[in-house]
Amino acid sequence: MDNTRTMTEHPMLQIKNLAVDFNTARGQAHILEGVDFELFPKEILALVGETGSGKSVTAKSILCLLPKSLSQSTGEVWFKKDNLLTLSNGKLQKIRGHQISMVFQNPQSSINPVFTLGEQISRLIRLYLPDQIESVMKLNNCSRKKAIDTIAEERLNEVGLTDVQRLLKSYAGQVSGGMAQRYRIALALLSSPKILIADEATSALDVTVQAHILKLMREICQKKKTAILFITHDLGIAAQICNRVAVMYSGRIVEIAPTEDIFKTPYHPYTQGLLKAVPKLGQKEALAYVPGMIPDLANPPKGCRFHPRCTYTMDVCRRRKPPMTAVGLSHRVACFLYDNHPKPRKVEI
Amino acid sequence: MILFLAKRFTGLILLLVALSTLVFFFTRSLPGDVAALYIGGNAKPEQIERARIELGLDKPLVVQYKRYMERLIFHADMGVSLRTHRPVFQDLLEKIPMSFELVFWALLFATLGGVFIGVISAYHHGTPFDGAVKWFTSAAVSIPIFFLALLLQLIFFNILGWFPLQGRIDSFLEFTHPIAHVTGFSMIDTLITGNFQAFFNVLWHMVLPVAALLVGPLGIIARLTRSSLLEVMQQDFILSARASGISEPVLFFYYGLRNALSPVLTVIGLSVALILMATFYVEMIFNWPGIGFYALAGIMSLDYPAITGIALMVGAIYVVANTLTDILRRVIDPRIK
Amino acid sequence: MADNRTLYTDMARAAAREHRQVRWFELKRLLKRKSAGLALIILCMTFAAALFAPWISPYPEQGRGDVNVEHRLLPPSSDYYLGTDIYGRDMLSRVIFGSRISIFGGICIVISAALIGVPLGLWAGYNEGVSGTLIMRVVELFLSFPSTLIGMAISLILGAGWYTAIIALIIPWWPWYTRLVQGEVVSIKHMLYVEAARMLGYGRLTIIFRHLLPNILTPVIVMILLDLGPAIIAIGLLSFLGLGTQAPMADWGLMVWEGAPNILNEWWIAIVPGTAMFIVVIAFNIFGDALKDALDSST
Repeated sequence: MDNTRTMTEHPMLQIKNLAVDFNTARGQAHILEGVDFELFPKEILALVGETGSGKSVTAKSILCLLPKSLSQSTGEVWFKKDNLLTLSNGKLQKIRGHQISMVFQNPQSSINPVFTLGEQISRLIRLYLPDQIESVMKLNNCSRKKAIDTIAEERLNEVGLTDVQRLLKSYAGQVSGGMAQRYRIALALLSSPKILIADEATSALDVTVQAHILKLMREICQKKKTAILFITHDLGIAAQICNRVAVMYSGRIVEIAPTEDIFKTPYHPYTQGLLKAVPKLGQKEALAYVPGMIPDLANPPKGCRFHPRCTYTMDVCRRRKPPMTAVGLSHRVACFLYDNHPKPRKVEI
Repeated sequence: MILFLAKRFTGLILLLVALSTLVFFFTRSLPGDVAALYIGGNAKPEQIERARIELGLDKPLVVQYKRYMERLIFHADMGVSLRTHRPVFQDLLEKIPMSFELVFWALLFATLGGVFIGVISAYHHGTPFDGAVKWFTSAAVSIPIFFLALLLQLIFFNILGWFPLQGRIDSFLEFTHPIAHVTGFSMIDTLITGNFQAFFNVLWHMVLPVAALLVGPLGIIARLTRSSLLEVMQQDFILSARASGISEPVLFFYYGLRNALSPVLTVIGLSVALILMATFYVEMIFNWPGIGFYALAGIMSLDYPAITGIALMVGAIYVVANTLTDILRRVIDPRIK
Repeated sequence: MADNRTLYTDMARAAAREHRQVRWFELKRLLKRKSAGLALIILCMTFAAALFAPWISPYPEQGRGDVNVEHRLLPPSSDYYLGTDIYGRDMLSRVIFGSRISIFGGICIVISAALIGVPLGLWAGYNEGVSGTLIMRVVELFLSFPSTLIGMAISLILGAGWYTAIIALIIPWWPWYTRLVQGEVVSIKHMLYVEAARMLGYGRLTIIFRHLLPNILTPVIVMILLDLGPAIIAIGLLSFLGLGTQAPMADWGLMVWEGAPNILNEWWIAIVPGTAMFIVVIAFNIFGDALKDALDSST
């Protein structure tokens, strides 16, 4: 992997100091506080973390999909000279799906159950590709409906779906999870977006299906030059397909680095703990785990949010939030342990 | 689909049979001697005895039941009204068009208005408009129909003088521009005979009764549409469609509404019965000569054959309406099995 | 009207989906809402009026039905706050006495319906064998016809009277509870804690009452509250037709009927009891709604 190249390029998507608060019955919950990262063209960035660490919220707030009545987002999400958080609804709609697409966790429930798959894809084709419909109509000298069908069939074939005619007439309840996810990915790619956000896109699938979808993702990235933000709780998947990995803990990114670096030399105590918790073949001793629980977001610990679970807690950890420190070329970590010595420490958790 | 339809129709027929059986036992368990009631007051014992034989009441219950079902199915014979002394079926046939006009408009406006108000208030949920709709629908489902009808009369006739008090047409117009009897539906009859003066007069008279009939169902439909749509809008596929860049109005009116409509359809089916039962009261109060008026007059004068006929008819309409909405739900929502 | 209950079944279900047990501390939050608090105050006042009618009404004898011909058809005044009816009876006293039938009749109908319907629903949901199927067939038969129509037919059979009207309304009312409870039980009976109880060898009745009943109480309570308004209206519908309470007893539906011919001149005779009914029903509905919302959105 050629990390130096990516670093010199201009990022596609730059997220600066993104914070999200939810209004709950018990007051404000600070779901995200100060998320910083960037997504470069043609890369796959994994966003890894436990349930409740704020991965999905990050993904949704990029496209401003969180209900406004329940949440406030602050910070900046830069995409092509626009801060998405301050865009009007009309302009956002031109970006959602057109430039940045999203695929969700549960493929079947994210397809409208009362319309056929054909109706839904043709609606999006009409929305995204009016020019292409015209050109296909001229080329094949056929009706608009026929042209849309042709495009739909072509795009569904691209994601490895066969027997498309039957599929277009089916409803969400009649297709398997793997087919549904391929279909969703085809919808997301219709407009040839610059960025694809995959929010736990493979978590609900069988392992074999998962492997197919991952392969598809990698092909998309290479062939279509689409940058992918891949959100998962599974480090193994991140290792398989991603160029870089960002580890999230309780609403912050604690470590971000190229995949190899993060697996070889994890810096942050939390990352080290996570890696230890990955089972290995032939492992004899009991599986390690990160002790403790994810903090209560309505009332989070002061300072570094990881300090109650960290064995290396220092005084400063309780008082201040650790800033992101560069510890290597394109390797950054948010931990006071590395304030002055940019070397990984073997930390026992 | 064919299997589904076949099943639905078998169910429908079974329910209709059950309905007529229940009505049969209903007539037999009514207090008082049916034969004596049939003859009327001050009848001599031998007259009553003759009536008993004529009505077949001396035979065993099973034979009576067979006779009743045969007459009902093959001759549409529901007996003779004690009040009007005409066959009940004939009476009903005459009254149905009059009520149908009221029920039709009430159902139409309640459905369209209810769904529209529901969708708009779901779209603007949390705003003062939504709050006002919530209050309106609460009031609409809480107001007793007979009170509403009287209130409308008091306000719109007595105080404002906008609409006529009661009846179907002004009495002088009945002489100057009588409604020709072609179909029995006064609006169609006046239109095809070019009797526009009567047409507008009838329309004028219909406003208050239709308003009284539609308020309740309108409230229920609006409220259910709102809550059903808001629930749908929480679903994954809406989020996913929103992430695809589909605009909010399209999300609500096209993607969401069709999902939300299935429970609403059920309630629309039930509203048919609701409105039919309400005609009992509304037609009485507005002196509208339809089946509701006929039913209420029958109940108050204990005209059992008429009551039986009405019960059969209302029950049958209810069952048929429910079956139809079930089929319709199945058509718009492939999830329903 | 009575057939709102399909809607109420759905609403009760929705509340149940969120919360399987009533949390009573939620109710405190509920009462902080102005509309719900106001509704509760109105309901308490009506309840008190019904209970203490002979002591608080200005003319208790007239409330019971004594005529007072020399003061007939008087408009509201300082002697008769809400006017008098065609027999000269004080409308206020009549309305206060009339609340007894509406309030206690309504409560009686709904509670009896729940007491009949809930155990049958528990049984039918837990045993999907012959007995369960049989119960559900009967329920479906009842629900296939308009409840108001069934109520009218039964009160014609039983003869007019306030208690026959109540019985006539209980009969079409309980199947709604059976259907609600049966649906809930079917959806929870394969949950692990029920399966576990079964494997531990608990008896059928123990499982039904100890493990299933507490979990279906929320929708039942919501439905009882939402049902009180329709029950009061249903009583009014019957007595307006002369199938319920008989004159000279006071009953809101009957009083509206008595006042209907005079609506254009002595409007208060029909409007006063009608308004009383409307206010009480809307108070029940708003309170029930607020309860449902409180249980719904507390997550």
